[in-house]
Order: sequence, then structure tokens, then C-alpha cells
Amino acid sequence: MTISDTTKHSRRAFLGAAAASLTLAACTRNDEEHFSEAQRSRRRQGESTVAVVRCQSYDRDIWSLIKPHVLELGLPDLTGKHVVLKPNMVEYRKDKPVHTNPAMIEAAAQLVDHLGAGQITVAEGPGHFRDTEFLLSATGIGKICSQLGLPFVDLNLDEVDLLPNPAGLTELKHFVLPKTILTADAVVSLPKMKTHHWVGVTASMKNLFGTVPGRKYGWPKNLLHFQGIERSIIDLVHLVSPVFALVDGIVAMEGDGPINGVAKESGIVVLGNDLAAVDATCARAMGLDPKNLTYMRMAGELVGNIDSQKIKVIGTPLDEVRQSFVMPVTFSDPKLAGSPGQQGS
Amino acid sequence: MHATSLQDRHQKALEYIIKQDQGGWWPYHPGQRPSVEATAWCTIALCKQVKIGKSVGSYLLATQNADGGWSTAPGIGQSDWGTSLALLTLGILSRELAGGQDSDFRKSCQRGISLLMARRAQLYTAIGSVILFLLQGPDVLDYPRGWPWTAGCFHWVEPTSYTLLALKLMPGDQDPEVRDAVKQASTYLLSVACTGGGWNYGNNITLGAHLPPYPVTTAEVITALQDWPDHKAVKEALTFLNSAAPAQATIMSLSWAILAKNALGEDVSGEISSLVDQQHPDGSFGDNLLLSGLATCALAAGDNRNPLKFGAPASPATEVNK
Repeated sequence: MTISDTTKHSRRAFLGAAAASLTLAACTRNDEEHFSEAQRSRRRQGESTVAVVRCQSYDRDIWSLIKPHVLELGLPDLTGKHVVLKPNMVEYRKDKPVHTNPAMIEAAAQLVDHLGAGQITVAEGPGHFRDTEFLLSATGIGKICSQLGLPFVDLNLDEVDLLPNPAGLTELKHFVLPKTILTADAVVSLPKMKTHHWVGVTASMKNLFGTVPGRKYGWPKNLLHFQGIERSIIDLVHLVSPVFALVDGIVAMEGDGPINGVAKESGIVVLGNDLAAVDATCARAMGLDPKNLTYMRMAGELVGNIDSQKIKVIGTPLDEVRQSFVMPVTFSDPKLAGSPGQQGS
Repeated sequence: MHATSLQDRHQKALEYIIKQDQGGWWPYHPGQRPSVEATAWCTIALCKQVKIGKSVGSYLLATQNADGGWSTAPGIGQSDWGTSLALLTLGILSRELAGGQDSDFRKSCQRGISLLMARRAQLYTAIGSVILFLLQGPDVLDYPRGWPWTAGCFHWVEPTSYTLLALKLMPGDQDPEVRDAVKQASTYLLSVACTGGGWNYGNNITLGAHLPPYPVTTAEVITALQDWPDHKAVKEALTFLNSAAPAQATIMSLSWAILAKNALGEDVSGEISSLVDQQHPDGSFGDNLLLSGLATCALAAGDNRNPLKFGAPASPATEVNK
């Protein structure tokens, strides 16, 4: 055997071994296997109630529309508590509905005030822009906070602590999280309802990426993509543990969301205290089966209900508001979905 | 703005930052725990203050992690992108406080640089790298790449810019390995410029869509690539910055625009006027010490003392009583 033959032989053997390793690695990354009892034990039990409220415009009195459903939803008593409202302000694009509309923050503030909140803070850690001052101005969120007298905390620059991540799905033993989140009595997720080119839909659970501080993880918070977006979402739902979600689906986003899509006037607000059920309901309102989305299936195992038989929808029947959202190209051409670790949100 | 007035504003800003000094470190907001980023920009703003400079140097050496890097705050997880800003600070202090730094200081810098060299983004997996090496030879692994925010992740525009500034402003000759890394990182930045000029966080095209640039990231890259002033991407970025900055007249945006444009020798009088309009009576730029530090650096640049300008000669250090 010549040196050249040896080299070729070794290279062939190596490539074979490498291919086998990659196949094995792919097999072990099946997200729907091997959830431990500890992971499953945190799942919400029983049925869930979600309100779907028709609202065609941000000029409407959103609070008065959702108020009739509050009692039936079983939202928590927040008497005297410090409540953090967490909108989505990941980035700003003129004429694109990227962020939670300020009118939703006003409605949420009225809702938690009705529930007895003693102190209300609006907090967000934008995922792309470092210039939070600009985002607050451009999105109108700074203005509504001023008008309502609500303090805003930039979670990207907040004080931080390590929070253990026992039974997490990611490999992270700890998450570094902002003190405003860690010390709050209650967190409320206030997302924008959008398509998402990596995970299909972003609503109340994916919105929690904005609780992760840029001062540790950067802009974008790329480590969460490397750890697996779906797994990171589930870990954050358990660590942040929002008490309920109020979703801005009045003007939603379809197509290449969550940043570069186009406006979709869906005319709904979705509210509930089981985030899995809220997001599954949003998916259905967008014309999608949540069981076709990996992280929703995981949430159905580990967070709460995604099965329509276990979710009681109150307010407007889903059939009356369901639309067909244009999905990102990653869902018609899965080859394009292969590199979220090298992309932003 | 009149030069004397600008100097007065700068002095007031310096005095405010000095008042917030916690003994060699600063938090993001008064009353909080340390932030390596706020410490970096406040120190760079105060880099001519000998006593504070030495105090910061001691603090940074004492909080350096065993791997040679720094975390956003002591004890908060593994070393992260704050490493680049800590090194940038030490490099500028080393330049400004010439002769005042001992071998521990130099060793600390070297350990930090070694960590950064080990943490360049790896765009191929270990297996992929070996396969490429075997199939195409060693040159294929010498590819344009920058730095991630956290270890083991993808490279992005901002941590790459911060690292380039740290390496380019570090006094002394660069190792050949560092020189190569600087060149590859610069090439990476130039390769991800947005269509029409400027930079965003690092994806100029995603799923076929051309993504828009931002003023802050554009200015950060221009500052890091100020030694490439004639490159088309830098020139286009400057054009974008001039058009976009007025519409985003925030403290962060204006400060970076001033630092970037001044580094290229451009007039910054308009941005300076807008910036000083946002200065508070106490000399601060609000309660965010990152922004106050950055804005104070920008005021120095407006007075032709840009601390981020390459080749800027060290001027006599001074002492201001706290």
C-alpha cells in the first residue's frame, strides 16, 4: 500500500465515521423524546380557558372589551403585588407591526390594576437594537409609559443574577436573568402575534426571549439559538413563569416574521393564564395546527394544554376569527430553516 | 458650538462620572452592582485621570476570571463579550498612563488576548473542520470570522467591533496570530455590510431579504475600521450614517456617530450640538452610566481628543480630585 493509498483509505474511513456520528447526533436531537418526570411534573394540570376577543382597532377601549371575560378566565389575585408587563419590542421597522402596540400596554395596565396590582413596571430587553432609547421613542411604548406613569426597565442593562435551571431542556445549568424579573411578584407576557421563520409562530412563550439580558448574552441573544430555540422557550417559560398572557393580535404579522413580515389585520386579542393554551389558540386563529409546530408540541407535554379538547375558548368563537396566515418560506422549503444559530430573531 | 463651551460641558460630564466612581468600577445605574461595560466607558472617558486609572486597573485585574476573560459583572457566569471592553480599557489606560503599569498589568492583557484568540467564532464544527482540512488543506480554515457575544456561538458585528478596537488600540507590537485574526475579522465585517451601506447586528441578508442597517452598529464598525477609510463599504457606511443619524438623535446613536466620524476626520459639530442639548444640569446624560461614559468620550472627540482614534498620541495625564 502506498502512502497515497493509506491516505485515501484513512480519509474514506474517517468520512464514514464522521457521517455515522452526524447521523447519531441527529437522532439524539429528537426534541420529542426522553422528557424526564421532573420535566413533566411542572406541566399545568386540568383544562384551560382562553378568551378570544374581537377588536378591530387600537383606537377601541381594549380594556372594556376584555373586562367581561376576566372572571371566567380565573386570572390571579394581584392585590398589592409588583407586576411586570413584558411587551415585545425586539426591533423597530417603520410600517411593520414588529412590536406590541402601546394600546395593549395601556389595556394590560388597566387589567392588572383591576386585579389589585400594587406596583406596575413595564420591562423589555430588546433583542436586536442596543439603542433602547430610540426603540421607546419610535414604538410609542416610551410615550404610553410616561402617560400612564409606569416606569420602564431595560432588561438588557438591569442588574442580574444566576438562576439555576434544574430539569431544563437546554444544556444551560443556569440562566442569567434580570433582577426585575426575578424579584417581580408576577410577570405578564404581552406579545405581538406573528409568524416566525424558525419556529412557526411567536406569541406569549417566545416573547420571553426578551427577558434574557443583552449585557450577558448580547444582541441578538444568540446562545438561545445555539441551545435550541424550542428548548430555550420551554426553559424560559418555566423559569420566568408568567401568570398570564395578553396577546396583541389586532394587527398581527404574516410571512417572513418576526421582523420582516407584513401586517395582517386579524382583529383579535387573546388572553389566558395557560401560556401553552394561549399560544395554541393563537396558532389556530392563524390557520395553523399547533401540533405541527415543534415547540408547541413540547409545550403540550411540559407546559399546558394545546389540545383543543382541553381548551375552552370564550368570547368570540375561533371559527369566526380564524384566518389563513402566509407562512415564512422556511416552512415551504425546510432546507432554508437549517441555520437559525447564524441568524437573529 | 464654541470650543470653550464644549470644554465646559466636557468638564461637567467628567465631574459627574468621577462622582459616580465606586472605587474603580461603575454600575449601569447608580446604586447597582458593577458592570464591566459601564466601567469601560466611564474609564475611557476618564482615561487621563491617573489615580482613577490605576484604581480601575487594579479592579479589572482583581476581577479577571481564571480563563483570562471578564464577565458582565463579577461572578455572573462565564467570561463573555465584556472581555473585549475590559481589554479595550486596559489598552487605553496603558497608552495614557505610560510607564505606570507593571508586569501584572501586561500579563493580564496577554491572558485576555489569548482568550479572545481562542474564542474566535468557529463556523465549522470540529468534525467539519477536520473534513475540510483533509479535503482542501489548511488554508481553507483561514477564513474571515469575528467574535461571538458568548463562547461557542456565531460571530456578530458588535462584539467583533469591540474586539477589533481592543486589539488595535493595545500598545505594543501584535503577534502575527493576532494580526491575522484582526485582518480576518475586518474582512468579515466588510463582507456583511448592508446593501447600500452601513451595518446592522450582523445579518445583511436573511432568507433572501436585504436587511437594513442601524446607525449605532454602523458607527461602531466604522470606528473599528477607521484604518480602512478608503474602502467602499466604509465610505458607503459614512454616507448612511450622515443620512440616518439625524433621525435617530439619541445619546447612544449620537455618541457613536461622533466617535466614528471624528475617527475619519469628519466634521461632528452638528452631532455635538445635538448631544449637549441632552446633557443634564448635573453633567450626566441621564441615569444610565454607560450612556454618560460614552457621551463623555464623544465630547472629548468633539474637542479632537477622541480616545478611540488610532494613533492618537498620549497626552499628559492629569489628576482631578474626587
